[in-house]
Amino acid sequence: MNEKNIKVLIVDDFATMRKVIRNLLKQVGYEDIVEAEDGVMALKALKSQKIDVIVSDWNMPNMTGLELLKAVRADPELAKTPFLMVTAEALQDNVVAAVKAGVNNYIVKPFTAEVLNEKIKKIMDSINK
Amino acid sequence: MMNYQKLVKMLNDLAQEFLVMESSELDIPTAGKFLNQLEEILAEAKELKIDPLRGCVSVLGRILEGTIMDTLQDKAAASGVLENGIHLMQNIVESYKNTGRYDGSIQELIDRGISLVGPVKSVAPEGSTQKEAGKDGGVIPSSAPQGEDKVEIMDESLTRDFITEGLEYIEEIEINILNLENDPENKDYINAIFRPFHSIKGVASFLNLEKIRSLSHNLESLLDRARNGEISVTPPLIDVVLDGADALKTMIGELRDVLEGKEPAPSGLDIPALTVRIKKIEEGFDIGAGGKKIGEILVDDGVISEEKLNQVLREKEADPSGKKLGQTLIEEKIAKPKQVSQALRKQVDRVTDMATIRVDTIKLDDLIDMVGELVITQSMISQDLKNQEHTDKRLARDISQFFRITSALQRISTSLRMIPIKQTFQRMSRLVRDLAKNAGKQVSVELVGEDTEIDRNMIDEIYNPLVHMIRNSVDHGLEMPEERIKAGKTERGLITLKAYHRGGNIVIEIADDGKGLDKRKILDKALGAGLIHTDEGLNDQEIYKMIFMPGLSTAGKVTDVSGRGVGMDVVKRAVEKLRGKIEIESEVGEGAKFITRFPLTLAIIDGMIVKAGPEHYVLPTISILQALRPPREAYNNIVGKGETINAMGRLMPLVRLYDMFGLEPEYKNPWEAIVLVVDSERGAKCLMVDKIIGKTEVVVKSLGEGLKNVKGLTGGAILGNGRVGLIIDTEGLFEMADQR
Repeated sequence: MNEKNIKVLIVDDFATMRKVIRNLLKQVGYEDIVEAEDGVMALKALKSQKIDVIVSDWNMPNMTGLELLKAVRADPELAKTPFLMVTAEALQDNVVAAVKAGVNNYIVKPFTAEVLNEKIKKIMDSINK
Repeated sequence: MMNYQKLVKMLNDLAQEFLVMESSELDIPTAGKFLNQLEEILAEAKELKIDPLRGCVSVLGRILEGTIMDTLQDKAAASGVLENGIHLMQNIVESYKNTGRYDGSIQELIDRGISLVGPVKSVAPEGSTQKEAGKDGGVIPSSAPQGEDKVEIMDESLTRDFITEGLEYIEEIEINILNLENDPENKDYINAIFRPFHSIKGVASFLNLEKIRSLSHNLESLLDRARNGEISVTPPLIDVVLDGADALKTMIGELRDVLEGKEPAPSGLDIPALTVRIKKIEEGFDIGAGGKKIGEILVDDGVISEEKLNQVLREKEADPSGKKLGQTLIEEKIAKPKQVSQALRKQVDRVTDMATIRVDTIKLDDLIDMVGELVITQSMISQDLKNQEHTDKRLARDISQFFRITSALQRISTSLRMIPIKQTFQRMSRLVRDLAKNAGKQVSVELVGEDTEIDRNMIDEIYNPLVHMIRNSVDHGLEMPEERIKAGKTERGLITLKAYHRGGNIVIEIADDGKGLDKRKILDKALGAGLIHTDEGLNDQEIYKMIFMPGLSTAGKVTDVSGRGVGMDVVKRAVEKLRGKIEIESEVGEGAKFITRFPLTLAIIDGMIVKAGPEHYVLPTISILQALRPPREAYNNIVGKGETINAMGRLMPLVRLYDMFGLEPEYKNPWEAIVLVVDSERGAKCLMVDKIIGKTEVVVKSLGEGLKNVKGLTGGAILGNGRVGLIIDTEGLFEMADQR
């Protein structure tokens, strides 16, 4: 699957952070990017369009990344959507909780465009098998 | 017969899924799935009391977690151990199913597991936090000199966004921390502070802003512990978070300077000291200024000896588990839980003891006075800076920091003298009860907003006018019980005292549910007293306001009976003297409401600075009705009546300010000078000045004992240009003028 055809949804309450991730994605060839400022908006975005992968922050107001993940997995229409969790630290408790809830992978801030791309690619490869 | 069917099936499923998986492919979702399956198996194993199985699940779980966290020593070996583990579990269950026990050992699996993931750790979060802090060099900021290195901008546009959004987030933090201070138990507030730090840290890490990242990380982990209830929200914690937010703000400001190509001024920030403070509080050391450590209290109480305490403390240092001293003492049976909890309570008591102290009001007044001076000096400096052609950027930055501090200082110092109006209200409600009793009326009093704060010095001043209004409401507003019943009201009348803040003022409302003001009666009285000539064209407010005119009292009875002779005009004057205002709302048969507004403090007034000759004077803005340069024909000099100016449609006496103070003016003719129409008890007069310099807030200062009784002046103020301006007492000034 080509980067150009992968539609990424970035979820983060911090606008600058969304821009950071967007820029990184662009650097490695992603073009189709949408953003949501929290879990609630993300669910809305997911309902209205086909998203190929969610890149979501862990710590957000209203609905945390974990809650968003659980909501996505609980929704029959969205359940299969690949989910990449962005965390500030690789705190084992948090990561394991996310993994148990069905996260496809996680990435620790700060990360480079290459690592981000690699993680997304890995997810896309595994689900397209 | 135990039911092993379910467990056997679970294990078979797990084994099968593990087998179809290619060994290279223990990816995260698969690991997650296995973890969930293991959890179910564990629950079942507990149910069936298969102890060896629990050990296996724990080992496998940790290997899976290691896979997820990418912390395994030997990744390739992991799937082998997992496979063995699953087989072992199947064997154990098989054995239990047949014999009810398992004679083999799981030690080999445990050993292999440990060689993969490292030895069993006691408390996970503790270890990881410390590791994290160590990694940052957070505890001992060894990189301090390096930290002073100039900031490198990675991506300009992103940095700009970060500056704007970051500053917004810090503001959010500041608001929420004040909320938290009032409600330290509220996890929502902690969260609301935690999150912005977290976000700032995240972006800073991408932008390679190491100093900002490290500080926000430290603050975040401090708040994380508070959020988890590991440490409590104490004033020192609040302080350090506020200081941290301040420091971040300064650092972001520096970043902006760099971005704009300016040389950032030395911030004077002591980040290492701040970091140490954060760490101390995080470790629960600092329980508050002056607070005693728990160990010391226990020694004082004679529970343990000092030597013993020191010994335990030394042992504690070597023990990385991070237990609290009290906990260790209890566990080692050195102190009883009750003794420790008593000591803890004492510790808290001592801290709260420190929370309030009595201070002489004179000291407070002096402090507020000096802060007022500081604010004025500050505005002088800012004036000077504006006049300079080239402003040193660094100086400007420092000054703006200085301004922030002075305005905070001013806020805090004025708040020191603020006290709730509760006491005054309570005194008044007692008064209402006494008055009602004397008048044979029944009254309830309702107090609203008793916690509203007002300057201590204002309280005494507003008391008398408020008492008059309350008397008025009880005597004239409320009806006698039989009248009330006739009017279909409850026998018992209601007086409501209400206080609240609005626009820098305190508003005090005195409302009764009596008969309301009688407009007709007021008009008749006013006509009779010759105060008005016609009762037409007046709106309700204008009619109500007439009760404040001297010589108008609608209730002749009161003056006859009580002989007080206090009219509402006295009330109005008293209120205005305090630079307050009164309004009346009334509904016939429903009641009346007197709404008074007072400034929160008398220490600062809004003044108009005027010039007469070489001198500057300050006139309270509230007393000025109009300022004009009169045309020549508006000026008249009538024999026997003196000089007048035709202003606002009336002839008003002219008072020359320079003349009153014996100065040589710039202009002697009113049509060249400026004339201010000033309201007073003696009627409005025109005050002639050379010029209006401007309008400003000034801090009122007394002229000292020697000049206390100078007529026409109430005090002095230091003006923005550093000169002293005398504050004019208009009543006194006009009295002098009339006596000439």
